[in-house]
Amino acid sequence: MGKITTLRRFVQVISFVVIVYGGIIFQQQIDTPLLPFVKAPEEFESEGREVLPGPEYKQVLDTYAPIKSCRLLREKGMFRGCFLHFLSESITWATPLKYFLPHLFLFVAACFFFGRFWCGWICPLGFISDVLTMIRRSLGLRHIKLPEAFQEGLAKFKYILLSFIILISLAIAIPILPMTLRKEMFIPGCQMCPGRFVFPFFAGETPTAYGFYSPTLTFFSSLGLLFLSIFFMGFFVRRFWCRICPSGAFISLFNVGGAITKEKDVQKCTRCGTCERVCVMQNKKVYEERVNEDVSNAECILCLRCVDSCPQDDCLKVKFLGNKIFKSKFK
Amino acid sequence: MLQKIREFIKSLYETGYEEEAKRKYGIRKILREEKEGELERRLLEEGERNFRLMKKTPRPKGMKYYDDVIKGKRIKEIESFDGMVIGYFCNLVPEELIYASGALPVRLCSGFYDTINVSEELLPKDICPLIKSSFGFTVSNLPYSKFCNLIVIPTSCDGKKKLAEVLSNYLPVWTLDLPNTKSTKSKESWFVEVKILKKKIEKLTGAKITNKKLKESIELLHKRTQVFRRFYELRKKSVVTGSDALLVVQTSFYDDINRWIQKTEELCDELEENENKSDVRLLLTGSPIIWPNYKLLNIIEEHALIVVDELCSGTQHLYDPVVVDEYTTNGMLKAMAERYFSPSTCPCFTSSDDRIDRLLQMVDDFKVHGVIYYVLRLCQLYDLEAQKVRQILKGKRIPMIKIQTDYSQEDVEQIRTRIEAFLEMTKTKKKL
Repeated sequence: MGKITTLRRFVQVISFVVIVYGGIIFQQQIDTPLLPFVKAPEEFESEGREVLPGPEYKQVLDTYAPIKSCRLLREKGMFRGCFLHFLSESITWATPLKYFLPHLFLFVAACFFFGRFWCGWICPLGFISDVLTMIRRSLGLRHIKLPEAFQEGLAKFKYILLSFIILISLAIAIPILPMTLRKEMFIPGCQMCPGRFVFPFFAGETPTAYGFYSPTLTFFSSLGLLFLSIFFMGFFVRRFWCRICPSGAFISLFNVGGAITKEKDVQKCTRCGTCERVCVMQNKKVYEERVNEDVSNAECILCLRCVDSCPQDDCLKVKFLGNKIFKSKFK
Repeated sequence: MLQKIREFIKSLYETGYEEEAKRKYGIRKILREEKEGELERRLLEEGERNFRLMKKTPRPKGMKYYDDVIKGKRIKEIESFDGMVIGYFCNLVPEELIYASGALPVRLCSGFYDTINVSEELLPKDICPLIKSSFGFTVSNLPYSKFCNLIVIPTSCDGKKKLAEVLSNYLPVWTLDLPNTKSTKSKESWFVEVKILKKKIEKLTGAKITNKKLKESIELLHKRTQVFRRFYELRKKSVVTGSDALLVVQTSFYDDINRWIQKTEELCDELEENENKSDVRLLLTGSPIIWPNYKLLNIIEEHALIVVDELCSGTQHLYDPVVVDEYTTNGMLKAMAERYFSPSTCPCFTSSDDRIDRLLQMVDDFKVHGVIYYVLRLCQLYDLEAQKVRQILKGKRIPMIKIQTDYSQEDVEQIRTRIEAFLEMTKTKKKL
């Protein structure tokens, strides 16, 4: 394990604790004097209020981190809701733009600066996937490589999933559908997310059951169970869930052209294929690039395993706003 | 049922590979035209001649060890080594596997002129001298071929492919089916090939290659790569001649690996203090140059310095490390298969891009003034790539000379004249 991976594990453990138990650790509300324009949305009236309680944001930090534990666990003091949750909820409740836009702007800014750095270094679901990989490795079991065509399909599928979630949220906001149908489609992303099942265990809570008593619920629950099994298949297929995560899909839109860039010295590269082999996302871009320096791409979660294991000095570099932060080295 | 499936899978693995191991027509008689010990004597003589020529420039003290090994100090050790000795050709055979099985790997590529006569009685005249020489080594029962229990040959160039067949009349030979491209499909088939090799070696030695052993041997060879990289970095300061550097690499073909690592470490310590003695800095690339055929090196280094080489019998043999991702059996085998296959700059692969990039990087790293492109006569693959390399180097304003020769000493003066003219030109260009 190289230096970068060691550092990454350290960051992962800390952020896991902060994100999953942060609500308990930081009981007091987090005030944000630094960000005066971002205010926690207040209570407001909206149609459908009688069906489900509307959003009650009390903390600013609550709302824009891409993944936090679910709103269903509010009482336990965990941080609440990933950004996708916020997005879909805001659309559903038709949150006024003056509450919604600052958060969106802040999130997009974070995306621009960090890109999918989130996925590789901070995301607790990603960390659990990594732990599953570590367990498998210590048992001496091999990992499974997905067929290339399938992998390419998955890369596209995550965008379909993202647009599906946003579209459904929009559909609920339009008061045409019957209320019974709408009620069952609330926050579809969360209904399908494996985090819904996984995080409660860490927080010491029983996860909410997957409901099957209506066609809509059955649809979402079966998708949810499918994604849950995909998440646990991460034991054999490294970071399987991350390959289709809709939240990751949203962030990945900012991965190319963001502040963090991954660069490759194509002449120094010996095409040894190490970068492709170690990539948990089965990303071939770094290996296959032979002309351009910039090898950032949407599928990369910036875990930097490729940079860490590249045996050519200075061949792979990671830059933040043009400043070199990591580079490859022969060990 | 399960048994049947298992057998079926096993049969899939073994079809077509078992054949080579069987010596269908029995072992042919070992040819010996010359007197007993005549070839050995000639080999030593040839070596001594090389040493005399190399001595014109002062050599580091640490080189004495390598001289001794190449002269034959190692022969006695291997003779008394009890265990399997596995010979191989090319730098594409995973040595880690051989070390992990407890056997001893020996690279058999040969640069000895006199054995060519022996093999020409059995092989056609118009094939590459390396093949003829190596075949002659085995046929005339010279070290190190004579200790080999098995020979592993990757099907790289045409010569090597057929060498596998002719050699299989004398010794058990296994071929590794080397794909022609570096596509994903090829990588997978090469990986299967390495897996089969593992099974075969296990069967031969009777010892199972466990994960632990494999990991140990990978770590051992990684140490060797580390030492070599240190040596390689030192060469940037042009502290050692090209022939000495090549000798260092080529002793690793035979030598006890731990001792080699230790001695090379010592040599590096010595070289740290060596002074810069470069005048015209050259890069040597092309067909393999193997002891004792240091003809070209000796001619060049009368006047200039080869700071770096890109030969498969030189830098390429030790440069690339095995980077293991996961220490599972599969992970290690994959890392190993990839190390020997993917970064290979062998012209047997359809594309020469990797090789050209490697050359350009060397030109940049070592601040080279000129490139010597060595083509072994009748080695079409290297010959075919020469034109592209020349054009690209021309774009970088680096002069290149192509020298086409074989193992004989006939054309020494001719080559000398050409090299001298080339060096003159390079010097003028350097001043400009």
